[in-house]
Amino acid sequence: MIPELEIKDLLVDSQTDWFYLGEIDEDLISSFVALIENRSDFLLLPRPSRRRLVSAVVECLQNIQNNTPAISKPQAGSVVFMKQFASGEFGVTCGNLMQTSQVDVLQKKLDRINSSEPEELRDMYMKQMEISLNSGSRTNAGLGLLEIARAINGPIKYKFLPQEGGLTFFSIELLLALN
Amino acid sequence: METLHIHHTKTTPSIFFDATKGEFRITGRSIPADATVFFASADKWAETFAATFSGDFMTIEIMLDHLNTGSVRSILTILTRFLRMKSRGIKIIVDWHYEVEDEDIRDKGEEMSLILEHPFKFTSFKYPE
Repeated sequence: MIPELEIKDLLVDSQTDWFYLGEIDEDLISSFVALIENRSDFLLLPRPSRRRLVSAVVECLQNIQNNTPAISKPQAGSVVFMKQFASGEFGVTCGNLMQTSQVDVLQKKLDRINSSEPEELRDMYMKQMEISLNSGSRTNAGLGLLEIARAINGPIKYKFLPQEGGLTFFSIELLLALN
Repeated sequence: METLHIHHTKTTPSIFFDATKGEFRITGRSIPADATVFFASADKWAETFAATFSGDFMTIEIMLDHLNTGSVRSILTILTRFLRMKSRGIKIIVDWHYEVEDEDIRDKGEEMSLILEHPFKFTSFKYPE
């Protein structure tokens, strides 16, 4: 498990109003979505905007573990933050430990997504979905990252923070507008 | 063939497949952590149904307000099983419902239609104010 104090030192600041460390499961996703959907400012958004926002958050939660291949020791536990900004925006950060040796592959994938136009993202998504469907694979193979980029309509903000023991803390931060 | 009825939860949709009544529906929110596990029984049901159905046509209605990537893949897998019946001359109608202003959900249906190389019927609706 990621040492909680260490993670707090790395990422938590005065704007953080929600923090979670542990496995991301069905209950967490359900609770976190409810946390967002119960906000009064969220309810003022047009329904399609609400849907897009929830989609981005769900994919972020569900893919942070998928994109950080399992490591045995220390056992990885994902972290989720929610930060409140005065401008009416809020940030959701999801992170996990990964093997440093796999950072390059993931970073290239993210950079390729971030440099792609919406139409390219759509084509990449459909091509990847077809591959996933035809292969019978159970993994999302980068589909979630593509879905996040499409939902937020912009580049995915990410960080790789090197840790000891050949590990790196990988995180994605979504900046979500509620106005 | 037994009716399949899975009730919705906060993260999973309602699935109602009734071969006797000819009703096939997936409705609600579909954001399960493991979509393959959630849709496994529906997938199995679709496989059995597709192998034995002797009618002329079937319509499957899909009305989802959220669906994650895992759900898209699982629903595509289920639709693929139904669509195999086309080789026996059975007409398959996929009726994709979306809120009138929610272009994202409509686009998702169009993408799935393109992947399956099968035209969907698109039906818009409006939630009551």
